[in-house]
Amino acid sequence: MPYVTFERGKAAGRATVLAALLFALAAAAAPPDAQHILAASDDVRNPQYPFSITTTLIEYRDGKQTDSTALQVYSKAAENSGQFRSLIRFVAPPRDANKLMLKNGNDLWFYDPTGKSTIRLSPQQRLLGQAANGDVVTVNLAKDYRAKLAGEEDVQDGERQNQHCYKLELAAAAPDVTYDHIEMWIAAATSRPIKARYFSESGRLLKSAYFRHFQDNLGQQRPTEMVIIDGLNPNWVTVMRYSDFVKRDIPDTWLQADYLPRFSPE
Amino acid sequence: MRGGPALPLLLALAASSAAMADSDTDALKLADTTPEETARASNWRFFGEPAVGLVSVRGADGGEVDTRRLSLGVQGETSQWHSLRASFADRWDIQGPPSAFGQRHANINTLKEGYLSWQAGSDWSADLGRINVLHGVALGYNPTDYFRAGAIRSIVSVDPASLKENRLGSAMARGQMLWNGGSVSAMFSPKLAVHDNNASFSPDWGATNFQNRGLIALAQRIGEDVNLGALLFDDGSHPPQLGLNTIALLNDSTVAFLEWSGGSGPTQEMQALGSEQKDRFHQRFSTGASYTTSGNVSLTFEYEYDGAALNRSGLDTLLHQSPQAYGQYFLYTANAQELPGRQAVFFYAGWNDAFVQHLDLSGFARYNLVDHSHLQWAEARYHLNRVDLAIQWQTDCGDSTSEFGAAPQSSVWQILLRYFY
Repeated sequence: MPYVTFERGKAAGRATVLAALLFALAAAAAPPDAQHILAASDDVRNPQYPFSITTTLIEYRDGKQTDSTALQVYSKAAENSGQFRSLIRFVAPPRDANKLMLKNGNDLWFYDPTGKSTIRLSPQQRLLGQAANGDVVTVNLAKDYRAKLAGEEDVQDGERQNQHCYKLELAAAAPDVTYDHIEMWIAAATSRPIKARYFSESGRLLKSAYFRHFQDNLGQQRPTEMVIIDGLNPNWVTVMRYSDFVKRDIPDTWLQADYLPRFSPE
Repeated sequence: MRGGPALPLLLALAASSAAMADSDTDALKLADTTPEETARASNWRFFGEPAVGLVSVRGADGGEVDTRRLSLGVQGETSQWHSLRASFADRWDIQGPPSAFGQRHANINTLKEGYLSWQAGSDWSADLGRINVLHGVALGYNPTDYFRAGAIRSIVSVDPASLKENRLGSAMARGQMLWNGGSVSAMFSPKLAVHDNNASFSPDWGATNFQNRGLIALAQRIGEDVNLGALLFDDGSHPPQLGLNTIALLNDSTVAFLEWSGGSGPTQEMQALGSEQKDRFHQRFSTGASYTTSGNVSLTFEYEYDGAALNRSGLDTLLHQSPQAYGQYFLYTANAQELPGRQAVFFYAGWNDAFVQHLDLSGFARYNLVDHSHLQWAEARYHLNRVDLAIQWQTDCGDSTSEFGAAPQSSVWQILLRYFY
């Protein structure tokens, strides 16, 4: 019986090794999971803990700088949805200094300290020219979009270098997203977001964006610049530059309309 | 031959793709030239605003009067020190000639705010001093803005945003507790003086703190789309007033709102004329919606109701009994920022980056549904980096005994330049 048992055990061991080999081969042959690729790319863009950054938007039309806005963005992920909630303080230009915007999904508020008034905005209202309100806040795309792997491509990145990328097609899975669908190229080796194209529901290209100038910030290499090119007029270009990454405690009570009149950046 | 029609299509796609790649490369090269500069935040904001205008004056001495104005403003707060910080906001308007606006004085300083805050942890805070407290979700008429009476000392524009910005706060002590999704505030504003003070640099405590007042305000977010607010206001001389504010997101482009206040109290006629009558229940409300088009044009429509105001027959009776009392009634409602007629409608439109970048167009119309007078105001404002250049137009229409027809001016043009430091 022990022999039989041994033989049976040996056979079972062979079967296990074989199964493991087959599984490994199948895993190697199977396409990578698109949602995981997207989530890994989110982790490159966003620290997964509360933080603040300074975002500077420089807008060009026909090669000339036409606008410049600086914002301090405080972001924290919601416990239930995992999506980021953001409080945005306008730093420049001087006329807008210390105005605030709060974005918590579709819950969007604007506060002007001069008039002391807190106004609820609809998602359609834009405050920042070419950049949609959803562009300046921190977004975990994997929470809001369903990703599908469309293939692998070599594309030119923001530094004009070729990168081997997964091309993902993202379809909106949440009702309050800024874009209906997105094409996104993510570096296969590093999970870095390289390039994205944003579309309206009707299929119109709204804008293209390049993520570039990756630098060490809050524990890993993150993009410090996004170059946005208008879908209709490619001579309309916005450079979004990220700096002053700081990990910080952001109480939940900050992220509501009633807190805006009390907000103090310190 | 079957591949024939496909070839031009492929060539066209290839050409389009190449053009796109070229434009992307151009954009990236342009981005490379962006200087590495980061603006630093400042807690303080200053501005200077010279303006010239032309006022068409009504009455026997009517005609057109040239006006001039210089306004200087400061607003900001100190850095935090041991959980304490101080906030200050002030505005100084030098304008003339006073007759053009029917103003109390040509040289008016408005001490808008000056208070000390104590942040006791992230959820608790307390304030002491002069604070501009604003409640209300409506745009044109705010019945739950309980500290608005007497707060306007100098009018430089009839735009509701300007009236809320350029007003006196009330001296008070205030405490606030926040939780995730809501807050409660309690404040007490004591009586400090009996009469207002027209002196140029008077803090004018009598304009805002002419009686003891207390307010408790509760706010709660209901889901992602609805916010509710409840208020209880007491001035000691009349039964408490209850207030409600509701604002809801209807869809991606529409926000609807309702602001309501109700309670027993005197009519506005009684308050204006000082007559004694039994308190009765009155309600006031504003309700409407704001819609934003895909072109970023914002449109707001608001219906306004004031149950303590006179209706058509009440206005006619008062005018027939005493034209002087009639005038006093309108002065009272203007100072209290109440509606003189029981019903009104308000329409506002705003368009940022209209036609060209940095040009903002905005305007409103207010129509008194009781006496059928109306007020229109419009502004075109162009932004440069530190400078705003604006032209404003206002016209007051109606018969000579109506809310807007009785105004001292029939129209106002104003050109202003605001420089931000």
